[in-house]
Amino acid sequence: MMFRTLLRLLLLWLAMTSTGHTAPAESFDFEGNVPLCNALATGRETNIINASDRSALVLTLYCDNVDAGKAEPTFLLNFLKQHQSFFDRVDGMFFSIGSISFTRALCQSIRTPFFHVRIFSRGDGWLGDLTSCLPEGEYQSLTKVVGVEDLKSFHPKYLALSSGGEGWIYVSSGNPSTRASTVLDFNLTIATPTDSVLFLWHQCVTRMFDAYLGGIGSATLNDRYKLCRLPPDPSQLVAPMLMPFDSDQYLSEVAFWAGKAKRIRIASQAYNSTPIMQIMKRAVLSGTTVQYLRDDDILLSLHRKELELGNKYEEYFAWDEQLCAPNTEVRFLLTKPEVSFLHAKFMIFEGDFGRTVIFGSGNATYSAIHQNIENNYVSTNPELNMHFSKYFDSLWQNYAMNQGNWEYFAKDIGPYRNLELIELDECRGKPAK
Amino acid sequence: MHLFEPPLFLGSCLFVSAIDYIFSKNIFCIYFRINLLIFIVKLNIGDKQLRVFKKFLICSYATSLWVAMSCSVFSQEPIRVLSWNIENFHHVDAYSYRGAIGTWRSDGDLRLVERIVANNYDLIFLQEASGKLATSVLVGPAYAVLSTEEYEATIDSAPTTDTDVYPFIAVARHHGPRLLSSKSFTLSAADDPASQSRDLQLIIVEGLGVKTGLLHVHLEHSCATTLESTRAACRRMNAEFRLIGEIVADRVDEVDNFIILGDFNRALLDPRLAGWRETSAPWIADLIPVPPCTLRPSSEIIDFIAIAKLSPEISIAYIEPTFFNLAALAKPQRISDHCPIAFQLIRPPSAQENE
Repeated sequence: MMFRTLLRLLLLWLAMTSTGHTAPAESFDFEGNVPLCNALATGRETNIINASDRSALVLTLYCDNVDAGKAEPTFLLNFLKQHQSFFDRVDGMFFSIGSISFTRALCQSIRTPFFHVRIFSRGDGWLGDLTSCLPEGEYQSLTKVVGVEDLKSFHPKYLALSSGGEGWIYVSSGNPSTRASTVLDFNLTIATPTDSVLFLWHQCVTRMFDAYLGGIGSATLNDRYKLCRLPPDPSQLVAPMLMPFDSDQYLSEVAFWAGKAKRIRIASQAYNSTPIMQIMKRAVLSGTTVQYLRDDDILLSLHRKELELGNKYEEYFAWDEQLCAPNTEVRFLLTKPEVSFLHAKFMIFEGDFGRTVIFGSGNATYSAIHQNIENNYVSTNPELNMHFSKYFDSLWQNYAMNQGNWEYFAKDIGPYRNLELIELDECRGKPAK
Repeated sequence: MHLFEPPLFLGSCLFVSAIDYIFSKNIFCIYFRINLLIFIVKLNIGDKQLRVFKKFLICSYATSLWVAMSCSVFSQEPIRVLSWNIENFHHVDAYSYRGAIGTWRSDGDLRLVERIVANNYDLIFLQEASGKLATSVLVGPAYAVLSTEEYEATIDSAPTTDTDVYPFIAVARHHGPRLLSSKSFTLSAADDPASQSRDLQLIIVEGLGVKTGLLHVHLEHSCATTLESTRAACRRMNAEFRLIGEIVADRVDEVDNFIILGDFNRALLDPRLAGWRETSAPWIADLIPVPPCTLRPSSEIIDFIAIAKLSPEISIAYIEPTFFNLAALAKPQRISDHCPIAFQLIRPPSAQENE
């Protein structure tokens, strides 16, 4: 009797689920990189950290060149190695490609003959590596990007790969380089049909750059992008945007979700966007909690040296000082300049609506919104957003520290000895929180 | 591991149901399976092992029945079809995809186009779209978009300054008939050395208990009423009609219904072409013209539903456009220069009773 009841319930459930009119579900594989280095524990790096403190998790982000030497883009490599001689179409754009392991793995993941391979990136070495290992195929376009109109930087990071009707989008805040694993980046693959808008958008954008970089036609990039631009569509659970052409849409998304959020969490390599700061400030004044992660380099910015991250002391005045409030909190990640650093870029908005994440290759900076080619996304997909939330939580709770804790560790660290330590308290000179 | 331990048991259930489904995809088998399922459920078995086997059979057949019922092979719902030449359609407003011959649609125009297309159709045939992205944006994620080999080859080649439009078919993912096959056809190099003609698309679907072939066409323009001409465009158009004839002859026996639809760019109802039709398009058993609308001021009808074969159990009926008043548009030319046609394949009640 019980079995029959269960059978009836099963049939009822199956009948209900068979009438849905939704698109095929996208699935995700996500990794938020937390480098586990031990430069400060082994003594490779001169330091006077107390022995009792050396096992602290917050110090494991501090990598040296020994760690960096074995820091291949393992997430991407593993994904490609799982798909040997598999992909028939590949489209991709990166700020830089610096790993021969990546180019070889990419070549081995492409089937013979392929339909097309289009890869565009700055830098030199990758071009020869990839050209020499690609199998036979119908069309390949590999171009070293030197300059793009009067824009500041070609800074996208994605791959769109397909086999028949199956497609995958790889998106990261990082590049496939030999220090990929010592940099704090997220890596993400989205499995999606090749006729999904998300997949087609990436193909369209890459093809648009193929024409532009190949000197085909004379239209501006802004006009060319009208081939690919997507209208705002709330039903699109992961909606892509190309900066700077979608900057209005990007800022309006940030403002929309910030206006509804009870808590906002941000990770960015740098912060200097006035519009984003103003949106955050308005949210903070409305009672929203804002938490943001910073690399610690800004704390040493009084030094005249131009740090590799482009973080500048001025950021403090453009961002932190503006956001001083009891419901704002910043935490720092203790990393070694030029080896390990916070490079992830995403914002998590949470409220009664659930959770929305804006992520991609673009930082919370003026350049990323108005001067660079960047691929950003708005995600209302709960599964994907949970990954970002867990990643932020991990960094925030286990690896980041506030100003006081940072000083405790940083003042003793050898490589920082010659840099002038500054006090960065977003509420400096103002009433205590 | 014992055969009836849960993991193997469930795996076996799924395996058997998959085999069952693959080899019995028609209504008769579904009725058969329903009766078999009832029979097995009612079986009074004493032996413990056999009782578990009974559960195994019930699980298998229930699963396969669900799979079969979830596809519309089983369904008697009409198959709703839209065919439309949306002139140079691109999904971005204030942008002319094809320059001087394109359209500058406003956001409102694009919303109206969406309204015409969004009427719960099972199959949507669009004759002029800039690409798969534009089509996917228009029809939304509930549809799979099928393109031609010609279009895919364009995507897989070096970009050029040329901008063209292509035919696309959107197939509803979760309702309507089941897609059995899809293929595109191109003219031979001898008939079309510069590859200027668009590919034809043939899909075969299964629904209403029958198989239907739908050949999507957007034929060569400039020869709507020309009887004889040595112009290249007219030669290509005549070659396209020959190709359609070959496709129909080759595939018509596979299906119960065979329909050719789209923009023929040929005034097939023109009395002057009656003789031409007999020799060049003998496969036209019946012809349904696209109803005139305000989008196309010309009285020359060139969009059709041509029927090469229709099962006696199936009939075709117009779907009255209810989207909005096209005549009230200030600039209808920005929507399209062609009228859409919506129709449905239905199984009349009398045909259902005869089963």
